[in-house]
Amino acid sequence: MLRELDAARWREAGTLFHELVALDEPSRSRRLTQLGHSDPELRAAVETLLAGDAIADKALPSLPIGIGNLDGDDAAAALGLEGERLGRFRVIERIAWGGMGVVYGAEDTELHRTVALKFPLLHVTDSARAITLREARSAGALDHPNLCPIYDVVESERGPFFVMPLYRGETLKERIARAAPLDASDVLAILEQLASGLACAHGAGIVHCDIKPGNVMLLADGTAKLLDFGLARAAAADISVASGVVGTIGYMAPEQIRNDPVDARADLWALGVILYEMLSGLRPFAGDGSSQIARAVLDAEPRALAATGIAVAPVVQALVSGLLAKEPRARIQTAAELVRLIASARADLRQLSSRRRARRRVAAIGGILGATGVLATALWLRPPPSLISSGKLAPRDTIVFADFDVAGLDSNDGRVLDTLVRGGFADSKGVTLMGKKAAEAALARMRRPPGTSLTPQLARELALREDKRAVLSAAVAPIGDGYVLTLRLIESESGKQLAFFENTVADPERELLPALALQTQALRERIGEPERDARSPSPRRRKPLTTSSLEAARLLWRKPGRPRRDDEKIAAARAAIKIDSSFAYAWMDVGNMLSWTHHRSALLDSALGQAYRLRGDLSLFEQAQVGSLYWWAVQRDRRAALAALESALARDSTIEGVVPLNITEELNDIRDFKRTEAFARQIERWKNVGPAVSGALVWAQVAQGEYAAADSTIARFRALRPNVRAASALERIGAISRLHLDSAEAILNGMANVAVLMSERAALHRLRGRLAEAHKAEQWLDSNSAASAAAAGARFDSTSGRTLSLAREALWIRHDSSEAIRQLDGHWGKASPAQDSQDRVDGIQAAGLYAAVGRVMKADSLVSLFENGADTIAKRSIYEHRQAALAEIALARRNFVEALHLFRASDLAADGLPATRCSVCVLPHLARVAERAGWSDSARVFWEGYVTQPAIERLNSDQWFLPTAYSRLATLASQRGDLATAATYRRSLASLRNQPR
Amino acid sequence: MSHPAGPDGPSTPDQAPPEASLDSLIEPLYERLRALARQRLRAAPWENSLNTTGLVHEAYLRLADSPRRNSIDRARFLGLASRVMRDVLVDHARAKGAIKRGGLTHTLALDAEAARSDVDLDRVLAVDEALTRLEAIDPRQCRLVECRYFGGLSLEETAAAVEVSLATAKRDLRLARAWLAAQIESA
Repeated sequence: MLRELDAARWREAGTLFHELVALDEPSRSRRLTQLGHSDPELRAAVETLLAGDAIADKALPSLPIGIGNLDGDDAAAALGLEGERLGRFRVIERIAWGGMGVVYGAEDTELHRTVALKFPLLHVTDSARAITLREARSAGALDHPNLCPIYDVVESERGPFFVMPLYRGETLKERIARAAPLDASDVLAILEQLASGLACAHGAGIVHCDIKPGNVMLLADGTAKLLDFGLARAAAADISVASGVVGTIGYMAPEQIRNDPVDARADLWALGVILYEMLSGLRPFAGDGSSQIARAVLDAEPRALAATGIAVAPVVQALVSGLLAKEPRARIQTAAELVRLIASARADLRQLSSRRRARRRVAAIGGILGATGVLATALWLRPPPSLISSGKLAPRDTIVFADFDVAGLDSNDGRVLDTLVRGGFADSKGVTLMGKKAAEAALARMRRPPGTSLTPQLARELALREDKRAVLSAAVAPIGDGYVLTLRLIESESGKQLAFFENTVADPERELLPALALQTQALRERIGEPERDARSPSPRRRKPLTTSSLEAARLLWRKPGRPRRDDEKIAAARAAIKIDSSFAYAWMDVGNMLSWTHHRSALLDSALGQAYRLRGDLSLFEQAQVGSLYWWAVQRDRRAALAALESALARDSTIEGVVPLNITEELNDIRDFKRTEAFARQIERWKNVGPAVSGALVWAQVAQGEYAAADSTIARFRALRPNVRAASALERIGAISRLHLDSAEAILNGMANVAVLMSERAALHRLRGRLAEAHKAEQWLDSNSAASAAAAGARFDSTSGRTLSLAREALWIRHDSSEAIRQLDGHWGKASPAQDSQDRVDGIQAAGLYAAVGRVMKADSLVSLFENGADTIAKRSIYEHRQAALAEIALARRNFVEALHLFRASDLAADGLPATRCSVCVLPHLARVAERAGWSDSARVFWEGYVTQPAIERLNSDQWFLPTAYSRLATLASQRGDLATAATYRRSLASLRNQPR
Repeated sequence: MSHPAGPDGPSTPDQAPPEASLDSLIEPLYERLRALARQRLRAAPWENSLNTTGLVHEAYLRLADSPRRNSIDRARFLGLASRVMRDVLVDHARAKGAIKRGGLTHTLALDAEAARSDVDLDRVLAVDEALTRLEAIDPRQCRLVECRYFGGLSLEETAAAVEVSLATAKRDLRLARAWLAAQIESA
């Protein structure tokens, strides 16, 4: 009914609505009844509006946007007061702004002191404003060293503001972000001060309601100041906050979330969250988005600290549990009580640590047997001199690592735990753990049969034979209700114990990985890093294997009887993610595997996005990989990808060789060949990366026409590494480049690139002992585990999609340009602006086809009509189709080299195919360019490349181009007089035509 | 090959006098804002409910921080920003819808992805649709709703952005809200 109103009637209805909405119910019905007689349409409209008004509060605040969100309204954020005078204050600079208001630094010109002026965000009635200001004022008047005083509340023409001392320091939020997990003694010192300040405020009957790390200021002398007392409550009185719920979701007590009555105990809950966060750097209740977090706060138990890989003393754990009790009655009841509990906990810890120091003097061993299963380590101890500094081990010694003894657990778990220990040493510059493959080779030299397990005894024997100074053995064995985990470092010559760590864990599923990660870290610290290598990263306390769940780790790494297919691996990683959604390795694996096959998919985006978000859990090397992949595959920003790699190399010049290799690849891709050359020459001297980089160097040289230089690089490369496949691929590059110089680079990037790269990768991974990676690359080469081409035709149900398909059929199969034009004109003849992204994608593809039939102007105009305004999802797809369309346009204009470049850049056949393995799909187009240019030899190379690839590589571009390929190859062969070859291709063509469709 | 400026990329140059500058800046501002919003959506796609207010103000601060602007500029900027937010949210919702309909991604969609309900975004589309109808009969109310709901602006800011008095803004918004609620409920 309402939809049919015109503007004039709408205004009429609006006026009536405003009149009626102010009336009481009986007079309203009277008016409506009257109206019903004279103007039934208007009556219906007004009635609908009134009904809407009645439900508007219910229907609209539940929207993701709108009035319910206005507590974040920082209208004052941009007051722009710098330089102004407000009364006796001269505003100097804006210091901060946020949900609660905006803070300026200012000079008090009367008292000659620097102060902070805080403009709270209050959209309130005069009476509510008066109350809240009064409350804030009385809170600010409290005199306590840990409460931030409020000197004055001033009403100005720019709204009321508070005058407060100006603290220079960092907020607890910044400290946590910078340094979490914080040292346990610091944590308790901070907590004690906050509790003491709170006790004072609560004593005066004032509750904070929005305690969070951002509201705690840490001064240089260690004093903690609690800010913003009374402001949250002020916000609660603010009528513009519809729900009345205030606070910051992660720190809100369950009763606050439920909107139940709130008292001082809600502040204690918030302290519990802060305590947890200081100890672990993590929030106790995690979730994606506020509603999930709120649900977790209400229903879930906090993640066990031990499960986050953080060791806490039982007294500290007790504080966490006492503060994070969901039921206010079950919580630590008062801030004063909390102060007492913290004091006694600190005393306990001091005692414990002095006991430990005594024990350490006797035993000189770091491990402590935790009785409760909560891990206890020497967090408060200064370590003894490291094994390297005391000369027991030399820097870069190789340590033999015996097989993990996993009696009582799944025998495959050894592999998972082994991974963890090795990962802990991955970025160590102190010592290296002997790789599995090296150990196997050494065993073979000892004439042991393959598959011999490397027991600690045998490991020592091996170490003596191979002249290695130490042996590391690790074991997990059942004891009582739990398991005991030991890590032992033995001097091979004397058999003496160099280091020993032992812990018990009650629940291996959740506690084993964190415990082992701590032990590994402790071992690494015990061994030490070479002192002169100041740049080497010190071991970070990070999440073990990026998950605490043994089950999740098993899913990802358990070795099955046979190599798993990609889809099985993805499924396994997904199952692992289900158990632990913050499992960075699992996300990385999914992203990694999909990036080979699914260039553009939401899943790839989401997996890489998650891995990128969790990159803090990964090693520097993995960060570089995830970072570059994320920027490359998701954001399509090659320069950012390059930057991610370069920054990793800058931080650790000895980072794995793949990183420099990838840098050269990226440099080649952005066609900065000069830099490729310079960089390749620079790193060629590092012998572990040299050979791999040679390939990139060759490409750069060929691309610049320096064929002699490329030849000599190839020769050097072959001398360095007699890898037949890679070397011959490179030679092929050299040979082809001589045939047709202009097309050389297109060939390189379009066809040989992938094969060379893959064999490079495989060989390199083998060199580095990364068998799984090598296997993956080889698998790609053999292309047996193919990506499913299933979803190729997913969107052919749309008109534009069908039109494209018909036009292609006309053009590529029947070679009937006028029919293709007819089809295209039927849909795009009168081009209208795109309604959505799919329109844009299809329109751009149509542009390519228009150019292919010679309608260049039309193609041009379609490209410019559709190329802009795509949303994120379609942006990359449009980018690629656009390159292809521009390539067609270039081809139509006979700019052949340009066309080759653009087709290569489109990395995708202009055929609506999913961009999987697209390099092969691009070949027919490169061949078309070569033919049009008259480069018949090149055309032959391209067409041959196309038909000799496995069918799966061609995807369903077969239907368009395979017949053409055979017939063109036959023609080319007979043109050069090779009649036998021509006949062979004709036979292939015939058999193709006889195949059932 | 074009590379959109990153979050720390150069911000829009802004040396011209304020009156002249805003109009000439609208185009780049618009692009910048869209980029910013997309970045946010990209960084936290699970946050279906973008904190649009924060985003709008952040954008304003980033773009207009250094030279102080008069209040008209700010108001007009916020109005524009609200419109952009509407576009972005609607695009985002459509894209999500498109993913849901597509075969490939759907079958492969991770549970984590699937768990992110699209309900909120459906609501965005419903509001957008209703708003488009409202625009046909009363463009000003449509602007008001954009500012208030999509831009998350305060009443004062909304009134200033649409250049009406506070009282009118309140009255009109109540009417628009009633109408939207009726439309969405009956949809």
